[in-house]
Amino acid sequence: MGRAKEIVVKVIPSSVANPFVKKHHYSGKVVANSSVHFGAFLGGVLHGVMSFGSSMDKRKVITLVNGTGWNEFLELNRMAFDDTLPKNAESRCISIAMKLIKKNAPHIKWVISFADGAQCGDGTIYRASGFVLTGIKPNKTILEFPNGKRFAGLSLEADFDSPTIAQLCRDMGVEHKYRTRSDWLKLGAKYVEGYMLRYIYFLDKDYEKKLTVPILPFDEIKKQGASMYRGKRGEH
Amino acid sequence: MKTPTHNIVYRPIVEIHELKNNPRIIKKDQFEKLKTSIKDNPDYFEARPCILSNRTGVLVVIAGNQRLRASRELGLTEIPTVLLEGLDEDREAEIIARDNVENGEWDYDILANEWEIEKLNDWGVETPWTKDEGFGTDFSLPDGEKGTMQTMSFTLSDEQAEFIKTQMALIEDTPETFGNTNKHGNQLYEIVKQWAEQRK
Repeated sequence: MGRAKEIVVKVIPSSVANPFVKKHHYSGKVVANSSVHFGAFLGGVLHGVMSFGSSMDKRKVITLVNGTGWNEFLELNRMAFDDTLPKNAESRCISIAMKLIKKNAPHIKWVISFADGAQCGDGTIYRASGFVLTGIKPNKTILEFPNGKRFAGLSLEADFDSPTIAQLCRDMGVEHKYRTRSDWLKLGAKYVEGYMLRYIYFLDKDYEKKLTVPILPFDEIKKQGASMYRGKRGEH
Repeated sequence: MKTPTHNIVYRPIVEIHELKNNPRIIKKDQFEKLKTSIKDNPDYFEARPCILSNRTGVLVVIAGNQRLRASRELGLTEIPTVLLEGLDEDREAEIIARDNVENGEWDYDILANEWEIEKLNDWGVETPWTKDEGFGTDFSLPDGEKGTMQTMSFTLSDEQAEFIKTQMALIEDTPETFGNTNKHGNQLYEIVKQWAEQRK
């Protein structure tokens, strides 16, 4: 279908982006520190959202590219599309979003994103959009609890006083207090089986040379058994 | 072929009464769309007439009250009706309720792909999608290096907070400020520093 060319990408407020992400993102959750949201419109109707913001572990992530200033990189931390967009829509939307970042925030040198190969996919869209693959790690991020709920470790630690974690504690029959990931593992949580894949898109191509970790060939995903497509392991 | 037991009859609008305490309401914009629909589609209105009951001795609409109101506002003098005679109060109530039950639901993927959204909205179909309300493409993001100050927040019980505030107030001298002008921050640092020194 050639309709992908008709997609218009606009900056939208979080009040518009967040309900869409909650409905269409596989996690059903939004990332609190997203600072700019792009909406993908087709026929004047919102069909996709891309949320960018600071990385939760900014101090660690910044070291991936030498010479990066504190505010010179972003994380694409949520990307959600409904099923009505035509083929290739996602990569077209990313491409437009990157152009808008380049225009409005020229100090941003690169964008990092993580593909959740434990629950969603190994990053087909990122590969099609010009990201480079810089890491494949067994999942030590997403924990699954005996009640079936899943949480990111960082959320468990950073948002431990949230109503959601309070409810989790009630479900688990434990006191609501701060716990580390290992505390939760001792209480019965388990890491979801699968891999996390780290991708980087260089808005400033000079910064690619400053990468402190090697760029991995895409076939490494299959070699390491990290393939996943639409939630199905082993598919690419 | 089965013969219908009820005939559609155009009756004078002045002889028809609205249902008292009608449990259905309609939003103003939807009502305007209904008026447009009746005006533009008399054939459809005829094929879907108002249902009347004469249980109380007068003709009362038990299905189609919004259409009756819309027809009045449009200045129609007669409307298509079907009279159901011999209804008791329970059966009337059942028909009123059943007429407003929405069976089935939209397949929004098909609507979005194969129907024109603007037309659907004009026809009174509410679509759950967010429309482009003139959103722009400009934004700004923080530039520059990270500042040398940071804010920390803690959750404390009233008793803990009171105790800490009291102890902080006792600290008058804060020699190591590292450029921080926040009095409470400097007092807290001094307390923690003294505690750390005691542990050496």
